[in-house]
Amino acid sequence: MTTENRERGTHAQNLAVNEAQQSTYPVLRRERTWGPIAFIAIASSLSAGTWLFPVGGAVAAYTPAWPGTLLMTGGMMIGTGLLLIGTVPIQAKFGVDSVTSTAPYLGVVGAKLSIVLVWLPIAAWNAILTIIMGRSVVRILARLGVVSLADADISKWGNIAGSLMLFGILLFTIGGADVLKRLEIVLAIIALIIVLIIFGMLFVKFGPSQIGAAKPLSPLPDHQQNYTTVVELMMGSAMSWWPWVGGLVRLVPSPRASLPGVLLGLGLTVPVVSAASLWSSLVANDPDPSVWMITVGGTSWGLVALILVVKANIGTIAINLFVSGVAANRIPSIQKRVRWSWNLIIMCAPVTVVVLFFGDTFMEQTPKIMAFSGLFYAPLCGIAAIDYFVLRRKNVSIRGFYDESRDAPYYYWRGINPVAFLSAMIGVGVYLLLLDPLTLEAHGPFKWISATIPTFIAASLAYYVGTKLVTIPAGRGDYERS
Amino acid sequence: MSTAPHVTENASLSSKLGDAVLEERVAQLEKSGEWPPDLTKGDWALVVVSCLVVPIICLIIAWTI
Repeated sequence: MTTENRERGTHAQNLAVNEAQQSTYPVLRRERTWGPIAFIAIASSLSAGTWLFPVGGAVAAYTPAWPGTLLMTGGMMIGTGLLLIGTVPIQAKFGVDSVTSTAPYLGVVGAKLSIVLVWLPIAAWNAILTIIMGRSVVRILARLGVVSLADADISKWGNIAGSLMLFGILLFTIGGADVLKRLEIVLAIIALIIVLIIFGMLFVKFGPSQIGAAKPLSPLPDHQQNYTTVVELMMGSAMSWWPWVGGLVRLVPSPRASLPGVLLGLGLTVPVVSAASLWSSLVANDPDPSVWMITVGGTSWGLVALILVVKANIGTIAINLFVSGVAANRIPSIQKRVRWSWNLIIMCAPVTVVVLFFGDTFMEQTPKIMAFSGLFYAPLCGIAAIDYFVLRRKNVSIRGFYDESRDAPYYYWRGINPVAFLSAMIGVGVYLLLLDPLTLEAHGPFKWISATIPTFIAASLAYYVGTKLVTIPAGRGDYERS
Repeated sequence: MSTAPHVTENASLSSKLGDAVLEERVAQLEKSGEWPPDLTKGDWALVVVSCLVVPIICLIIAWTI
């Protein structure tokens, strides 16, 4: 074989690997190009996004620094465990994304409905992160004296700058998973350095005693309720990774190789980076990052923090685009007819419109988006775990993930499994009975049992009972093979 | 030339999955069983320690300080 032929063969193989990674096809083991270390870097870079600022700020309302940091760590790791058992074993084993992995329990048509659960929160977050990133860039330029703008103009020019940067990030993402891997590793290293600088500055300026002595901003009268609310906030944050997990772990060689990235990158990174926000909010007595950045450290601190914001958001938006592009490919007409680059442009278009024309209005909705983004995923994880481990005993049909014919394994009733949808609604109902996600007003035994854990258990129990009583006797769902 | 059995099987799948690349890939996976191994007991022990034991310790310390 000539060198030219060999090069052509390698190029063709690379194209095939790229196609598999960007489609909803199952990614074969040899096509998974993210090793465990790379995945830790990618997941950490994703985690270290600006979304951690409001998390730390929210926790500052309830607890002082040291208990708050421990509660954030505990809550996040419990949530990561619940998330992990409902996603990684099936998604990393079969190389399928979050949407496709729902087919065995939602039904092969029902799985397509879950595209909404992937695309909507990711698009909403991309809009928020793009706005914050653009405004941060304009603020950096203003602080450095490059531009001179009034406060009112910062929003307008920030939104325009954000949209232009979104286009730049899009170009990186078009390069596929390997380009993304290289970008994210560099960004993760920069994030680590900047976070260390922030912690260093906090300790030098205030010291552990002053940080530890700072009072929570607006605690509830009940001590136990404060603690459980923090744990719940973190479990909700962990569950809200659901749309991302499948799109990432399918590119890692095995479930085992995914574990460090999920536990350290998606799990532990969140409380570590959020701690910087929590401590700063407490010593500045204000949860608003734009206030504490300046209050805590003046211009130099603000500049470092703003650079972190821009860096963090570039990495997060790039992964968001990649994952939403993969999810959209679950729709056959998009996968077959729309090129990867156009797919990503379509994903970006509504985000750009929102950023350019409704930026301020959209930013006001951020707390509601945060509150609802984790609400639906705990029931899905509970259902996925009981379905895969207990009802199917890890015996699923790879063909069933994609087969939409009437005699397909996961066709259920017209492609939808009503038992799963009903169980998910029961789970959401249990959550709402225990906690109002908008006001965080707790009800009943919330302070002893939280909301996410009972939601997970209720949805999985309802699914188990419904499957035993309805689905299996009706001969649907391919349970007889287990 | 006779058609290999798996090729015939793939052709019949064509109408079901509606995507030739996907059909070929699924057939290949079914035939080879080329799956990575499940999490081992040791892996699950790591998950239990990270997501249950460590959090419980964190919560207890947070409660007492």
